[in-house]
Amino acid sequence: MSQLNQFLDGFAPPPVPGGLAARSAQAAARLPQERRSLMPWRRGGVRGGWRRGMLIGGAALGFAFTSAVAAEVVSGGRISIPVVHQVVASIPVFATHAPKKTVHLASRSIQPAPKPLEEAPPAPAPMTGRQRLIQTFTEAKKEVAERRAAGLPTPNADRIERKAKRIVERREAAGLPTPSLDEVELRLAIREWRTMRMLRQVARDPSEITDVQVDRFSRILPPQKREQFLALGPDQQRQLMGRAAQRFLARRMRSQVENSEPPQVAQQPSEGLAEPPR
Amino acid sequence: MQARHAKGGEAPSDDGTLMRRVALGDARALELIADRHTPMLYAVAWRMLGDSAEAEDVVQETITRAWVKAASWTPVGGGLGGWLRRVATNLCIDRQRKRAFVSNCEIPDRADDAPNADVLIDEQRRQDAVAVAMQALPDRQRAAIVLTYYEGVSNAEAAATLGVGVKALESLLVRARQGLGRSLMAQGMLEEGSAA
Repeated sequence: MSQLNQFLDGFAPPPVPGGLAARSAQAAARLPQERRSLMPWRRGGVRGGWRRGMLIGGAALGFAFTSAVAAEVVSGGRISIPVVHQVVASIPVFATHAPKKTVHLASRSIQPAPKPLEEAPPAPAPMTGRQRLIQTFTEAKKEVAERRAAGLPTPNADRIERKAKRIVERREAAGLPTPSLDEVELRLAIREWRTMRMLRQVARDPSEITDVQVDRFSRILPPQKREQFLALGPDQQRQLMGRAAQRFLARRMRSQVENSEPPQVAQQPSEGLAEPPR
Repeated sequence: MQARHAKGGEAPSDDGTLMRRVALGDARALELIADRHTPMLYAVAWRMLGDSAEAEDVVQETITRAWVKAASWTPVGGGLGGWLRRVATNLCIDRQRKRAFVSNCEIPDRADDAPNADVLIDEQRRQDAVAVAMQALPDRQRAAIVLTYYEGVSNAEAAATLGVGVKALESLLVRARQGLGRSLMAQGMLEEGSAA
């Protein structure tokens, strides 16, 4: 051992002051701790961390460019990528490609070719009134099915179905020819729509009530009341029809409100079957 | 040297386990770590700075770093001891640079912790001479001597601690020994040619 080493060996530190470790730990534990970074290369403690983000970014950029060049070259020039295309074209080896059918990608300058004018499809034949009603009835049935699936009430549809069933049962019991339940439901719905349309029109403006409507109205009255109604003059008949329609609509609205909960009342108009076709 | 004992009968754990507990905010685990590594940290800091009070400050700051950065600490070569030693060494170098910048005053004598006995006078003179010689060394040379000679750290680990290559560290060590020899000869403690 050299003399220098002997001197160095004699250079011993004093004993550690008592309680230094505990004091240091207690003082440190009072400070907040740093949270672990989700991006370790961004940590300040990692040497060269600032360089890694640039390296990763550069590598990604290079990979994207290389992929684009490869796509151009492999496709034989059919795929044209902006910027990359010019670079590839400047390389003599690849510039000799025969011009082929080119697929332009992400290029704003290329406008899509206009589509050839196609012949307009033949206009559908106009539907008759009954066909329109059948179509509306089918849509209404779908809507009712959706509401039932969603657990929403369908009081009008229920009522019409009950009525249709009763009619079918009655006709079957009497041995009469019986149409299908759907057919009966359709007829009932159409009759309700027509009645409602007439009532709304009557309630809106009694002066526009036609003689046909007066005649129909008289037919739905009980015999005694019908006689009284027919004994009135035309203006009085129309006024009476208007008042009756208004009373009927008001009563119907009240019963709907009473039979439904608040949110269901708001959805009530969208329910099918009892709504008149537009 | 690491103190391999636990306080209060608690089962000793390895440094990695303790640091994971520290990362979860376990102050008791930090105390165990401080108990285990404080002697080593204090020795490094004292030899680097030549001042007990400053060495204590460095120890405290190093333990604080361990607490604050526990979540981002990962076990690498040298383990927790190596990491703490690196932190303490860098803190000492920072302090030396600040001190040199602020003041050019003479290096203070080390506090006399030993009993003032006649038999210790020579030994004390030798220690003071080494302390002066050490403080006269540039920061990196002093750190290289402290780490490799006193702490027994391998050249590779010491090089990593100082952020230099192994060859550069060996060069630092050679120059540090030459500097120490010259300083001790200037103080009349060493004869010419006996430093090698």
